[in-house]
Amino acid sequence: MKNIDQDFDLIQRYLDGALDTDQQTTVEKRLQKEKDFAQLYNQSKTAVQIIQDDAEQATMALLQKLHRKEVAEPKLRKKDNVWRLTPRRLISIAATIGLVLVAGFYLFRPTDPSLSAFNNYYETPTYDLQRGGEPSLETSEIISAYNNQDFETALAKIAEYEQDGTTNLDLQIYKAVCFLELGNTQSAIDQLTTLTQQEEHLDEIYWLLAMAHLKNKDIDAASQNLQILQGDDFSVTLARKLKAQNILEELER
Amino acid sequence: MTTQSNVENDAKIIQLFRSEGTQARETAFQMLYKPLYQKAVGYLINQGASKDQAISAYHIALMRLEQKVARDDFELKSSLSSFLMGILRLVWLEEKRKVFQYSDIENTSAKNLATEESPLEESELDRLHRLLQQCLQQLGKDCKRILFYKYWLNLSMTQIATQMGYQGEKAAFTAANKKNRCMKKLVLECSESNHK
Repeated sequence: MKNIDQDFDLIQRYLDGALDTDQQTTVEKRLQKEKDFAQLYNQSKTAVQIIQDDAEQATMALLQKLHRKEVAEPKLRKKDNVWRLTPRRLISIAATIGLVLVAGFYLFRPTDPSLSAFNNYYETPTYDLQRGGEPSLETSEIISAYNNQDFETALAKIAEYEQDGTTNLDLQIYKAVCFLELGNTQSAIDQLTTLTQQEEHLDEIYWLLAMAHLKNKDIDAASQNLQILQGDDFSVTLARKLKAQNILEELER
Repeated sequence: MTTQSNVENDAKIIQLFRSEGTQARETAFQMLYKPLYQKAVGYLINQGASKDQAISAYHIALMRLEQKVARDDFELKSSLSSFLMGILRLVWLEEKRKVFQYSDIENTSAKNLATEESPLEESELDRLHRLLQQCLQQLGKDCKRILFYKYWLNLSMTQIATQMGYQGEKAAFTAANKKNRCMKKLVLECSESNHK
């Protein structure tokens, strides 16, 4: 035990640089020859290394703590200030307000009164078999296409039917409806205007003409036809008169 | 330009580093840390360091500064700021050299690496490290302090004696004896308890 203590003290002094040159040489020779002495030396040297590592880790931890406290966290706190108006936030706010205004303008934009009336009151008339009489083979194909809302085919069949000059008023009215349904408003107006020269079904012709003008956003022409429907020049159902009156009131507003 | 207040501030920081206790040490680091942070980290970033590398080098430089100024034979010839920047430049050079050496090691063939220490020796060393780390944590407060002063701050025995509050003509001798006893506790008793 005494030897170990003496050896240990000698190694400590060697590690601390407290030995003279001769003593150092002696220690170095013993380190090469004596295994236990060398082991003790290695343990002491490793212990010094451990002490230094431990101190270094503790100091680094202290400096990391200071970094968080003095540099990193104050920056984070600054970022956490949600009410601070930064240029980026101002741009975001302006963009949001702009978006809300555009959406509001789109949603609450003034709608065209004529289109609104057309959408509210127009209904595709169904083919009246009673009025049109017993259909022939040709007209039955037209009726079938029309009732299936295949207005293009219906128009083509009407054109085929009229090739030899045969026609009737019902087909002329439904031809105008086909134009209207297909968005060819001006053709519908032209067709119906021609039909106003007829003596039958004028209530329906003027009603459809008024509807066609509404779709064409021509309020004056639509109003004129609606007023005709309110007169006594020809027979108009009460229901249609009331509708015409309502539309006129809406258009005036 | 070094103003009077800077000189006083530097002297105060040095005094705190040489004082006893962890609180004084922390205050000294705190007085240095933020005022010099931008200058030091900015300098290293301009030298090509990443922010993380710059912060790490700054911490190493502060650590080295403490080891220098804590010794009572240290004499400040300029300002602490200039002194720290000088250390920082050296630390950054060392760090760059380490990266260079590391890439050299990576280029070394596996055959060469296989001739290094055997896995058994490596494992024995690891075991010793772990054991000594455990024993160091079990040492008393005074022992830890004295070993810290000796092996980390590299203070003279006379200064250690002062730090430890030993008085009289043989204070340095007492400090040396205390240090040896603490080392013996760490190395010998630790090994013995391990062998039991």
